Amino acid sequence: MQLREAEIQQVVSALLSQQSVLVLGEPGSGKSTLAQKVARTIGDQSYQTAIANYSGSAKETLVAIAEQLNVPLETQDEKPRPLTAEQLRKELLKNLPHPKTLLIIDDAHRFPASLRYWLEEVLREGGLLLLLAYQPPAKDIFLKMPRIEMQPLKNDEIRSLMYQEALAHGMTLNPHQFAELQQRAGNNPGLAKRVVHEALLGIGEAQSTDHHQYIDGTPFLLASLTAIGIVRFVGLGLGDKSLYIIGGIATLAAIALKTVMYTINRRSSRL
Amino acid sequence: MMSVTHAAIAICSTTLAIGTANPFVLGMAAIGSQLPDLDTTESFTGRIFYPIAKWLEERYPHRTITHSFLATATLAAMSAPILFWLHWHYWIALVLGHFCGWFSDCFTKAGVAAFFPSPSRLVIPGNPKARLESKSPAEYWILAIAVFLSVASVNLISAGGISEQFARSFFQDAATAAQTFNKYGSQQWVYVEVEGINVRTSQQVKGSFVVLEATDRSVIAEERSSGTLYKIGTAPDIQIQPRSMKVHLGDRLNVSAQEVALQEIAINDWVSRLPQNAYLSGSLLLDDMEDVRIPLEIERYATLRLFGGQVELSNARPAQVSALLGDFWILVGKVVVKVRQ
Repeated sequence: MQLREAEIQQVVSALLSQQSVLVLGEPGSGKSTLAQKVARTIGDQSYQTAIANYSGSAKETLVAIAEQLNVPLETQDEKPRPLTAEQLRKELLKNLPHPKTLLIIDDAHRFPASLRYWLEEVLREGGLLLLLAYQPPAKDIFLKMPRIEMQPLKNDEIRSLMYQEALAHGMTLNPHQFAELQQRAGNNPGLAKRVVHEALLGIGEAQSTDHHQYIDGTPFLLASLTAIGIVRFVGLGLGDKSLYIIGGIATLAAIALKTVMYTINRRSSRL
Repeated sequence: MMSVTHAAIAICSTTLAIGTANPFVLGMAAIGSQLPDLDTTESFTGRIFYPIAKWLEERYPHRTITHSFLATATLAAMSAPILFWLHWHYWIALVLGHFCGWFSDCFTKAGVAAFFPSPSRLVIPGNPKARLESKSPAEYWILAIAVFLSVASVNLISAGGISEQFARSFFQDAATAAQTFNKYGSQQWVYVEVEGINVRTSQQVKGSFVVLEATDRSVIAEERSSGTLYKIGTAPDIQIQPRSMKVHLGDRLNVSAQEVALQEIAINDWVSRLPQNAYLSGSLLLDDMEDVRIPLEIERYATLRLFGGQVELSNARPAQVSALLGDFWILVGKVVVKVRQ
């Protein structure tokens, strides 16, 4: 099954016309998978591609990029010494702005400022970049590239993904269980796999709610309850004391509820 | 959430929203509240309509297509013929019941895809830890509260509506008594328990009265122990200024009123033909008007008085009339004879 074909096509055609792109998507939405598929497709067009990740050290990242692009890692003299981060940056800056070289930056929101400023320079020199990020800061490199947002997958796509995942683990689930589990997947392929794993481990009752497809309805509820306060003014206008007082009580109840809702809505960011 | 919770919430909202206690209307709301669960074969509705439930379950996650504004709007449009066949209450109850059925699922961990076909899930509150789990103690609390509110609402509505009951419980004054009499007085006995002061004698008044007539802020009522009439309330000509007037309704009654025109007849002849429990209101022109003597009563309501050269009657008893004017001759008169029984 091919997922996100349209999005891959969009990214590839942008890249083939020498346009760098930023792809946004929530964790588990398949950014890394998309990066790999794009790298493969672009590679078929005799492009040289490097996929970069940041795992704590800027130099490691630069070395990994250089290795993938066959950029020498040592000085070119009689006594070769490993290049410093500074030298690597310069070396790569010379090599990257080549028309058939693509640099893919996965999880770009994690990249430290030093690397981001270097990436900006690469972009300025004419390098071709594909950035994939989740909620990056609205500044520097992230503002300078066209954005593509990854759309949530369709219900049937998620369902067949879950079905495949269950099959791969030799598990049989009935449609009812799939429908129950799919509620928590939020059309996110990564989560769809995870909820199947959770069901496999028998921890379905944990009811994880990690996807980002939620709309908090509290303000709507409070607004409509506050609107019951209209009764108070109807009572006032018609000279009906009971209606006036009941409306007043309803208004105060809505205000009290608002306070309670405000308190319980402060969610912790811990698991 | 359990289906019984859905039904309880739907019934509670419907009875409060449209102020009905009709069991068929509330039953419609309960049916409506079960319809969203058509998307799972494990539910009651899903087992009845198994093929539809199976079809939906194979395609959609739970709580999406049937739990949405789209579904409610479709149901509203499809059930619109009810508006022509039955009372609009049935239609509103079905639609409101369906809406409450899925909206209450917003309070669960997974939420509902209320804006289907958008996959976004509506949740209240935003904090997942504060949301409900099925069959948790919190859900039983909500079930209990919904049932309590439904019972309270149905009781209040059967007794005349929430605002009327509120007034009778908390505003125990003459205005409430007058309003109650104006609403029920033609079919039921209306009693008031009055605590107050007689403004003429400055004596404490505490007793039970039957309301005979009501104006805006005062009532004319007969003391049950003595049969004496008083005007109670806030007006310049009252006898009893109440501190509290507790209204309650009694048995059904029939009020028959008949207007009679009188001419050239002896009072005793006329009165002897009237039922003794009648109330007479009207005016009489008597022969020898200058000899008529009616005592001036100020500490009680004057049922007979002289006014403009005539005798005016206001809720007078036949016995009183014959005692005071028995020997007189009516030249002309017009009287309403009211019998309450």
